[in-house]
Amino acid sequence: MTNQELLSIKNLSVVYNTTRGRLIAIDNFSLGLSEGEIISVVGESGSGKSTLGYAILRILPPNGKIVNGEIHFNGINIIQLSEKELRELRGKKISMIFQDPMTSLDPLMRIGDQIVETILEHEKMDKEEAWNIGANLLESLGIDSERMYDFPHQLSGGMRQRIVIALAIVLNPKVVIADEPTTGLDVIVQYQILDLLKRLRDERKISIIFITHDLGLAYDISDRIAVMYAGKLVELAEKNKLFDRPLHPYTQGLLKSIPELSIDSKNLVSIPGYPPDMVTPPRGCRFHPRCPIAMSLCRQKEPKLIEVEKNHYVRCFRSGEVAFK
Amino acid sequence: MMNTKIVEVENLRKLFPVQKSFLDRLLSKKIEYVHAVDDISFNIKIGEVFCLVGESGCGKSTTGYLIVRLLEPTDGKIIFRGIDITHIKGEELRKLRKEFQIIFQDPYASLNPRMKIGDIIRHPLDIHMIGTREERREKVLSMLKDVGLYPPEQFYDKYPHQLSGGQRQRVAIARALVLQPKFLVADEPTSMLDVSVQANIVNLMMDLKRRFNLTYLYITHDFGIASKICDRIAVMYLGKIVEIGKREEVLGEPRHPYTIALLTSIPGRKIAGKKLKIRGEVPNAINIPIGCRFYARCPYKKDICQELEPKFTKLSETHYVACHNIEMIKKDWPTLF
Amino acid sequence: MNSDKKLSLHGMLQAISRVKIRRPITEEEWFITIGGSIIFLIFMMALLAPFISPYDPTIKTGASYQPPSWEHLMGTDKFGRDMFSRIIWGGRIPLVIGLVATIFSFAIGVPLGLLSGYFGGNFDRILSLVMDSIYSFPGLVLAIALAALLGSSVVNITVAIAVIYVPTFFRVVRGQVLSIKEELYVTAAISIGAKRRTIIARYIFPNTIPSIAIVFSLSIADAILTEAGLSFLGLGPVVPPVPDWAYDLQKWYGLAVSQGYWWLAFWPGFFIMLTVLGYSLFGEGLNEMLNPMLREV
Repeated sequence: MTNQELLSIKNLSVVYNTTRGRLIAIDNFSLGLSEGEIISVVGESGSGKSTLGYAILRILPPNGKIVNGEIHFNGINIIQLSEKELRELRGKKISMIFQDPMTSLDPLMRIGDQIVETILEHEKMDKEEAWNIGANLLESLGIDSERMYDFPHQLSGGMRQRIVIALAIVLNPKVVIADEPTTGLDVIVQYQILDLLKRLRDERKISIIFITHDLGLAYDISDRIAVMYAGKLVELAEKNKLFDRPLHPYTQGLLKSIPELSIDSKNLVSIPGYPPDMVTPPRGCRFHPRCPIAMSLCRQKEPKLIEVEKNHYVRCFRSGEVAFK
Repeated sequence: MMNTKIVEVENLRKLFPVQKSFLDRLLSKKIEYVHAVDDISFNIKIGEVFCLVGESGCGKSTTGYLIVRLLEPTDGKIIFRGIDITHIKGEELRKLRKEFQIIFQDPYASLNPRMKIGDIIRHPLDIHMIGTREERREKVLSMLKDVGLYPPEQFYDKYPHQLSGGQRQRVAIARALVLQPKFLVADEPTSMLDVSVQANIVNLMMDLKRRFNLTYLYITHDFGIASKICDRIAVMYLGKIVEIGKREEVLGEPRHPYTIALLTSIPGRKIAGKKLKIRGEVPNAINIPIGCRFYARCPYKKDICQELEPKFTKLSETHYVACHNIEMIKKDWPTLF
Repeated sequence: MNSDKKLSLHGMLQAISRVKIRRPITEEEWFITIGGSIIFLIFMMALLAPFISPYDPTIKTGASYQPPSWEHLMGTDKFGRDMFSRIIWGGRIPLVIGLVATIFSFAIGVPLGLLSGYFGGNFDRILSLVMDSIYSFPGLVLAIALAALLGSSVVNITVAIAVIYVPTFFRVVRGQVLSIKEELYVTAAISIGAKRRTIIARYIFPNTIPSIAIVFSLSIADAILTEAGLSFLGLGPVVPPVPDWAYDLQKWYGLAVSQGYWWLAFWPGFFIMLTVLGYSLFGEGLNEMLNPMLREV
């Protein structure tokens, strides 16, 4: 984690108060994002990956709370900002692309009006100027500016998601958090969206935190990949490093369970068991109940995150002991 | 000579009328239709895993629902084990449901939230009055074991909301198999589950197939899964089959641009470097143009494609493609592996 | 995963016992507990009337128009009858009519709603039209009309009130059926070969129970108010000297205002309000609990 980081998350912990008790969503999570970098945060349900996005933008639901840690953006600790200061931040410096475009677009407003509204929230200019900015932006994203006059329901799923991306970048933020932006979209459209995001990073130097459950997607779009399990960061590395030499048993399991396209059919390899209940997580290493190489130490003590090789971090007592095949 | 085909689909068509607003109905009398499934023919051999692959809106789920007669075809024929089931209804259909079953995509919605797991799995036996009360309970416990839900007695009394997605899907599988059908339609059974759980379920289904000698119609959008389990694959686009063949043929030497685009768009590391990029999205299935349906997005289009719908070209005994420009495609993409 | 909120006495007791443990009681648990307690206590009061009532409510046991005192906790009325006893006994008629009428409405409205929603077609259209017509009448006006038509006996009033609430049950159940019909588990039931009656009985009906329970509780509240309204207008089923809250309220209301004999109108009115509050809280709490807004992770 270097010094000229744009966004620096240190020891972040987030909990939810549920009727069953205190649910640990994120536990002591640290990550650094540089300018123009794309990091994927990969995990399954209960890993805490979606909560991460909400926590950074401070838009956790009412029963969610940041209980520890710091998030530094451009030198300022966001956790200590007031609601007013946060509103300055959101959309303008850090923005978010949500999973379901149908719920993040106002069904009763025309696309153009939504873009104009977003702009005018943060900048002073007249409506016409804002409208033009919107139209130009859509064109640059490969969307016919005529769409400014449409309502969300008149557009296809892929188109809507592109509009959501437009809304997220219209004010030129430095960081965009994309929370499973391609869920539910077909493979070909998904591919087009990824291409679009990569282009935005190249042209506008936007840094992206890409949250997903799909390691394949993560590989395609990011520079580095962070793997989360049960609220903790378990492995972090440059993407080829991760795919070549995954050191955490969970990462290895995930890699093996992606059904790779091949002619020869082998049985799909899977990780036995289920993600843990985060109200009462397992003692010791949270992955031990499903880990093929768990030993007694793993059941008692939690491993720490260690830099095993340059810029390759793992949280496992036995990292790298089992070769990945 | 015994019939080796368990399901035969001939010129199957399903149209859904489009719901129009009152005003629209006043202004124009013409009823529009969604051509969900538009004249497809294929058959499924006993003991095989037949995969139907395509993106949303292609008609694959509708095809699955038609074959198990949860929908009635607008046109065409469905023949199951030699019997024409296209238009059967009522008691006859009800009784026939013992022979084929379906596993749905959404494990969170396909189980009655007010029934216990044991009751859910036992219910088909109750409906068709198979066995005594004791025998039925035993059968359910045995099925719970078969789908990996231990200890079965504990799961018997639980409710669906107490189970995870993967567990619920196992219950759905148990329910589908309790009547000992020979044919199963699986409609994207793992697309709503976590990645690490998906493999578990797919492996379970393959295991059960071997044990009980089943035949599967496996519907999915995920070529990765399809490549692991299928014997034959059919690729659908906008209600039509564009390519069909054995696994090695469709995956190794695809000849339709849409198939190639799908295969090369899969995210990840393994696919051959080259990608076939296509623009746009799947159009709606209401106003179908004449000629090839893929024309607007196709990078290999010729003039004839806009006027004439391509018929199947036979590439081998088992491999068929519906395209006018196969030669060009073969040159650019001789093989994907 | 494990967020079962079962509707049961056990569940409620658990809720109460959980007070000791750190988790705070949710709003709907307060509603259900308080509402339920009110209903329970008032029921007990009416049930145990012969044992807890200090005096016979129909005879003179003190001087007339006495304000509340130690002998007559809620004072006496024009005929020297003890108001406290009249209150204790006076709940029987409203409670019984409220409950029985609502049960009748339920017994007619729910099956019709189930069949109408499931089968649709002309049967549904005609029935919906009829139900909507009844529903669009203000309840009290309809009750008055029916009371005038049928006469004012307890049975007739019960029937009149029952008719008013049939459309409510019908609409709610029918609406539920229309949406439940489209659920995947109903399609699954068809796919395993279930007969239509099985689907309605085991798949659709059980999933409408939460809504029915809510409507039931709120309807009782409303029915009691309607009965009170009828009685207040002098159309009620009560024949003096039988005690009845609404009858007393109607009889003494004028005097209470003009002569300052507040206890004559206050207590009956208060208890009507309290009963209605109890049922409403319970129904609302049930609603919140069974149709929770997304609160949890």
